[in-house]
Amino acid sequence: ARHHLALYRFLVRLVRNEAVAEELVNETFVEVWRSAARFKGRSAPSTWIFAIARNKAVSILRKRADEELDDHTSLAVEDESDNPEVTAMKGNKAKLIRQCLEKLSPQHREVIDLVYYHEKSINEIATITGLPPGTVKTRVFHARKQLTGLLKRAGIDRGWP
Amino acid sequence: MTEPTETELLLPWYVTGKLSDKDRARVDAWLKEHPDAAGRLDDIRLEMDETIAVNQDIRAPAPGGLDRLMTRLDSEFGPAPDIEKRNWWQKLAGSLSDAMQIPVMRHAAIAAALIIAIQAASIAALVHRPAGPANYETASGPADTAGESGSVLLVKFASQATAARISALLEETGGTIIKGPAGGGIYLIRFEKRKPAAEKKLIASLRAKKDIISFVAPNG
Repeated sequence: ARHHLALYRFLVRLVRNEAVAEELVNETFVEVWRSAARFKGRSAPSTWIFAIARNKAVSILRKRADEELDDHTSLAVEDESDNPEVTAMKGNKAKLIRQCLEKLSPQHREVIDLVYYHEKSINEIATITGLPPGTVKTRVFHARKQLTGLLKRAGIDRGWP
Repeated sequence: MTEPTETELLLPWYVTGKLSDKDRARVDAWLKEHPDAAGRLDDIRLEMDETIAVNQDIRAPAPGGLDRLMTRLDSEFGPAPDIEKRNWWQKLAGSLSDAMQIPVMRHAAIAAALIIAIQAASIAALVHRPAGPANYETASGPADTAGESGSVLLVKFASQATAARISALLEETGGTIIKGPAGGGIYLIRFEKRKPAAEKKLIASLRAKKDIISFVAPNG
């Protein structure tokens, strides 16, 4: 159950819609069932499953990019009462970091989640995302750099990514 | 801001413990030369803590997901209309063309599907975890419990056993696959620790399910 909750959370963070994420979990397992014969064991099964899930999420996101944004598919709408600058004033650093994490671009959010929450290695992230390992490392660096920029705008200067 | 060195790029994985021994040693050496970098590791740990918190705030979906998935699998992979009736398991096995010629590959491929099916069955057990400053836990949760005690049995599943029946049996008996398949399609399955007499009873009851289990014995 733990692993499926992890997959569901991975997808929610990507597509920002719980109902869509739940459907994607089902789609993923149907695909896994269909493709089990092609699984050669070169990666851990969970890595393979995550890669399938990610591809399905990316298809949805690409389709969504062509659609007009609406209440269901738009990214988190700015809530002026809960933005990093306001939170910084309130002195809650942890909450501030969390808000800035939510503001990362989808590409950056994805790799940050894979490193820190899903505890994937560089090679596992490379398999899941289809990126070369070198690009995985630099993408995480740039994600952290974006996070630093967001924190700086809110008044916290870390000085480096 | 200067570009990071190769070693600096590794710092997030150093904190999560997901580096090779060689890369970890490289970072250790770099940290010794740059003692002022300790603050960076603290920042990374804080990023990690809050990333975990953000993810843990996402509640599990409502129950019923397994039913919907199984209904979907049923409709897509139900028995073929041809003369030779196949259940899911056989249809899956039948689709493994060249891989089936190699016993090890056959078992590996079936094992992958089995593990996936068993994991799919656990969707029904998804439990909402309350959000908030509870103990943080990454996606993998507490340390791997393979080392925990329990009654470990060697099990081989019958060739006609369906994934759904295997997972139902494991659910019913509280079994967890901890290793396998080894040669001959043998799995190591851990059950709740039992006294010898109760373990014998479990083995007997598993042996009686000849449509699911073809072989079962204590491990050692």
